[in-house]
Amino acid sequence: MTARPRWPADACWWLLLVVVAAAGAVVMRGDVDDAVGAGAAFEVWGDVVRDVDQCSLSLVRVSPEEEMRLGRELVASGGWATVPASPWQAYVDAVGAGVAAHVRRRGIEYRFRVVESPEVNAFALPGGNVFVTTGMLGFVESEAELAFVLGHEIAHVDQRHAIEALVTRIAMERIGLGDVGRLAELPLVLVRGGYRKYQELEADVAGLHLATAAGYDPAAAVVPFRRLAALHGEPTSRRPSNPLGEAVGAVATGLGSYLHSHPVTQARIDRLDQLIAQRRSWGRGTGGYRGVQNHGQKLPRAAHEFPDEGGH
Amino acid sequence: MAEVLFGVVGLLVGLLYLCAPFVAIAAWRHARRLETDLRTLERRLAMRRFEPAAEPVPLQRSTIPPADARPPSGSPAEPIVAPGAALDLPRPPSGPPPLMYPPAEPLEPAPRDRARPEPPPLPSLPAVPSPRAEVDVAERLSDALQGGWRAVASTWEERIGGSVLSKAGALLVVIGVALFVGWSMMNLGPGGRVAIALAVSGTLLAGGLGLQRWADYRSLALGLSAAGWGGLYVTVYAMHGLAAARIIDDPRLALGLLLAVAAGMIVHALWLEVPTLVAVAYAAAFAAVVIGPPSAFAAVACVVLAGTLLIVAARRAWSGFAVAGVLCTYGILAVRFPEPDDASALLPALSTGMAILWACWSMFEVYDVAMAARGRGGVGRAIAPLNLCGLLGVALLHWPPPFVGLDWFLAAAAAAYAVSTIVRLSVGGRPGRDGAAATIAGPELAVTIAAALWAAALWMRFSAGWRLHVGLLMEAEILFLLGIALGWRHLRALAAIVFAVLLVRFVACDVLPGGEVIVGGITLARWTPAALVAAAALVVNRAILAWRGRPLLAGESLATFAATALVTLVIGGEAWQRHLGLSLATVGFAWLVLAWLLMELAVRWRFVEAYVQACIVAFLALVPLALVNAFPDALVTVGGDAVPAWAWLGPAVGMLHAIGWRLAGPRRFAGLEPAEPDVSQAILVAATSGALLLAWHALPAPLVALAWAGYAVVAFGLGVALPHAGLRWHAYAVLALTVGRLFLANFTNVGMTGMLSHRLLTVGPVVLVLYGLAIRLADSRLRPPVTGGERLLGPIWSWIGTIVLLVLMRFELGRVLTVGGWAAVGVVLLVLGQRLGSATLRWQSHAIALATFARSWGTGFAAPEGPDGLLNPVRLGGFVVTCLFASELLCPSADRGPHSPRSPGELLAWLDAHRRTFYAILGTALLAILLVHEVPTGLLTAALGIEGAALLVVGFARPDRGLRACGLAVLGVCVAKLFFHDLRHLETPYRILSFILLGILLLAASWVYTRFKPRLRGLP
Repeated sequence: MTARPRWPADACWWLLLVVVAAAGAVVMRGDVDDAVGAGAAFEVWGDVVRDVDQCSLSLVRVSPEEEMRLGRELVASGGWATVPASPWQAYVDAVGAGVAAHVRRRGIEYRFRVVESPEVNAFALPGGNVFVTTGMLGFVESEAELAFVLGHEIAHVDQRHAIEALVTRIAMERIGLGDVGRLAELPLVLVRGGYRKYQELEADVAGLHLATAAGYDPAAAVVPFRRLAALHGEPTSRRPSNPLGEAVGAVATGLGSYLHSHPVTQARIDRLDQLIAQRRSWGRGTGGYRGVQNHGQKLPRAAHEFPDEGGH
Repeated sequence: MAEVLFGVVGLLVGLLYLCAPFVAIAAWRHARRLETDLRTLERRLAMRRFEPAAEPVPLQRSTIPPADARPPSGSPAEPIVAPGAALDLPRPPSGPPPLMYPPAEPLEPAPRDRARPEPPPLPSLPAVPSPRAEVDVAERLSDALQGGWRAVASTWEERIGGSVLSKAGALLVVIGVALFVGWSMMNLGPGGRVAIALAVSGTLLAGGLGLQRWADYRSLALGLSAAGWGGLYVTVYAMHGLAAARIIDDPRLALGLLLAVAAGMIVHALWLEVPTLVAVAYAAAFAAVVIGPPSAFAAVACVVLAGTLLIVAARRAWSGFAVAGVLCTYGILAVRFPEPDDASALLPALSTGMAILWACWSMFEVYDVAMAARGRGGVGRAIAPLNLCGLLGVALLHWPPPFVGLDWFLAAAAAAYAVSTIVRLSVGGRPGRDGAAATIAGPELAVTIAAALWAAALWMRFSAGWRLHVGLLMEAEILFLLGIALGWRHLRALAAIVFAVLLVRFVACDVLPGGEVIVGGITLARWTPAALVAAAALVVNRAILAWRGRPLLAGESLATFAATALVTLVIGGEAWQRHLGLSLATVGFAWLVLAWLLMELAVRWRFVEAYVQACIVAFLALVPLALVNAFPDALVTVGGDAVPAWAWLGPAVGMLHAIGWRLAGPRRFAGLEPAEPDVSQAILVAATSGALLLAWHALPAPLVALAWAGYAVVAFGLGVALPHAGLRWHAYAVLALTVGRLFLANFTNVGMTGMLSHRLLTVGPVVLVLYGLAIRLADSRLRPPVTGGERLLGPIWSWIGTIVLLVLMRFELGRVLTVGGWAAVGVVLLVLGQRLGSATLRWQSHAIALATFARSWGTGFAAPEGPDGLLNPVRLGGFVVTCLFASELLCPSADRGPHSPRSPGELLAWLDAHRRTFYAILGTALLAILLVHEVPTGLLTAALGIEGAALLVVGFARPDRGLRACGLAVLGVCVAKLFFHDLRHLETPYRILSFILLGILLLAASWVYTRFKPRLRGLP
């Protein structure tokens, strides 16, 4: 039996070197991102934990009606200083309704509430209860930015992030173990804390999707984050002197931020930039309404579209 | 007149005092002699009584001498039986051997003697013929023992009385004379004192000479003679040497008298042949010199004494006298060294103490050479080192600070010892040649001293600077070449030592201190030229040894190591200490270049030493490189631009790889086979680490992993082609690091080139490399075939490649959409696994299917990041479910594999054989989940019923029992849901629809099962 010649296998092996070199050359021609971190590993780990968690959570099916009931109870017990008579309320309702029209879970009725607070913040409770502070309304500079902020909070409800925190207690109440459910919430908070920031990233993506679907400029999604980064700033770490130091630093940083509820602003900006570029590559995401004047006049786009604000 | 009278009275008193013990001793000795004679007579009588006995005593080898053979009366008594001689007399068989003397200690042998073997048993005596004979023998033994006792007692008494006392008396006489002279100094003039001393000395000497004619008074005569000679010498010395007794002003006359007395003393001592007398006489003479004031005359007298002593020692082979003479002479010179201005009174040529010192040294050296030529050893071997110590010790002790001219003195001493070496070689051969142990007094010692003195002279002359280096280098080289030419290994050993001193000097004193020298217009550190010349000399010497085929000495085997060390230090000093405009990293690079040169030398000429040195220097070079990279702030300016210190990593890594090529390449070095793999591995590890580090420094973050993967490709390719297992393991390690790196800088990378993400561009090739590596390791045609651990790595790399691919999809497509990609990959891997017969690929497919199912279940296919319309949940879920059912359809029926697995391996095989059912369950469940998410609540039961029916239809059509079972399970769930949920929650129309539709489906299924029952039994 004659041995087959070795050269094809050898040639294919060395061809890999060509492939590697070619890929490197292509990368060098593009816009290189030099960021390093252990986020990927923690994100993969968060995926695993979340998959296990959500598989069990999906066994507890909470209907929209039940979720809205829970939401109302939480709003009633929260004591937030809402100002229904605020001049912003109608404007926020109009913008929010436009964004919420593209949600996946149709059974949820969304209600938007303006909170009198200088803090730049917005949050959502189960059942479609979205809160936005007057500080946030003053912080955003266009209707598209506000649409993204509201879309982000709507996405938390639409993606069931808001109700997931209560599912365990609900399941326990259904089988008559409500107290045990409340006790079980604490360890679950720790478990879910690991992927809560990935929920934020998901909400960013979904919010962008909702705002874009409502006809707003996707580029406006990153503007508030950039402004926040410029306002507060974030510590910039110096590049370590060797790969080992880099790895150790990345793991330490990643471990420290693993339980943070919100990801680093720059990471969100990068994700959104990448997503926007991706959507543009799909032929979507070009153009869109900005609504700077609408925001300044508290005049929703649904009521009036300024011609120089982009859009269709 | 009064002084003379007073002196005469004193003299008489002294004589009386001196004679009293001698008279007493003479009387006692006379009584002892009478007693001895009496005993002898008794013994003779006893022997006469014994001799007429009838039968001779059958003694064998009797050591009892006849009575007439006894030593004459008056001679030192000898024991009847000499110690150690055997007396063949009857004795108890187990008792101790016969004792010559009654034991002072118990008869048991001393502890240290117990280990000695027992002496052979004495031959047994023949039977004694009669009891009378036994009695005679016993009496004879008793007499012999008693006689021995008496002889011993007589001997030590005689020795004390006749010898010790006489010597003690002589010593007392000398002391007494000295005291008397001292006392007389207070009362007499120089003439009187000298006269008294001469009278006393003459009396003693005359007494001694007179008594020595009688043998019985010999000891006393010796003591008197010694005292007389000693006193006479002191007196003659005092006639010029002591101011209080100086009656001779001419030093030549005084010296002549002194020499005459010394000569007489020597002649008399030699005539008598009594060492003790000589010792006493010379002790007295030296004491006289000591008690006098330091002067050239005293020194000369001392030299004369020493000279005569050496003559005596040489004639009588009394080497101990010579040693004592050396000690006394140098000791006296140390404490009575003549001042320079004092010497003008004596011979001009000997006007300085240094000349006297040299004369002493020459005298002792000549004596030592003469004795060495005669081959005499013993205590005389100490003369040479004592002579050296005396010379140097006295010189250094009296050399006025700041030791001006001492270097010349040392050089002169070195030259003198060189001459001594030559003389010793000419008269005594080369005792240290051909590996024989060097004698302490032989030429080895002389030449060693010469070399050491020369080195010391150089050191003092050129305490710093290149001249010292050149001097030591020349000395070492001369010694080496002479050693080669003469075939004298000792010289080569000395050369090695001088080289070592030179190197120590370099390292300890010259490397760090500054100072520059300009050579050929180039400014260098002061020691650099000398160090380079020394290194060259060491290399040349090593080449000469190799050329001449001489076996290497211990130090010579390190010559090239020393040369390399010098060059390494020079490079380090020039590149770092003096900077030369470059950074610390250049040191590492330069050392690597040196290591590479050495490695080339080792490979081309099979030079083992160079190989070892190359490895050492290479390891050393890693230190500055590591420091530079550990402290990257070490920036320097080159050409006006700030260049990071790691920039030198590039050429350094190149050098490391060049060295590594010589270690692992086709013409690798094979000189040190046992240690070579470890060393080469270490070098290759350094080269690989440097390359990885360089890539990390030089490339953007996402490209680092790509570069590392390329390095792994090259390493593995070379590891297969050369072949070199170490390189292949490097490839594995680098690839593992690459995978880790992907998680740090690539999976979350957001860079883009056109429409291609950098994530895909950088991770994709790595995945290809991982799969390629797995394929190559599984290739049975790979030569050499991988074995053991490497073969196990194949499936591992395959798993890692799949995991990386899945993670890439997760970040490229997003957390939800990735399930589509995963499902497709699972199908592909399943197909490949089944076609290639690879269980690894099949299990990867199973794992992917499970992960896809879990992710799909958790997310419900809701992907906000996905493109609208293309991959909405229904389409995405449909695709995933289709992939799972496609996998199910691609799987063979579960008719293979162990039926009752008993081990984990069998369990895995059983599960793999039933993969078709596994995929059917996953597909069914995931389709149900999709329906739960996407179908309105009212129609869910109907939709699930349709799913179950469809599964039954397909299960019958294929036929596939697993699908049919899944269909039945779904229908069962539908029935349960209908009764437990729909009855309460669904609106009436949907509830009715659900019941009717599900009922029809169940009826249809039942009909099919009933109608085709016989055929179902044969279906799989």
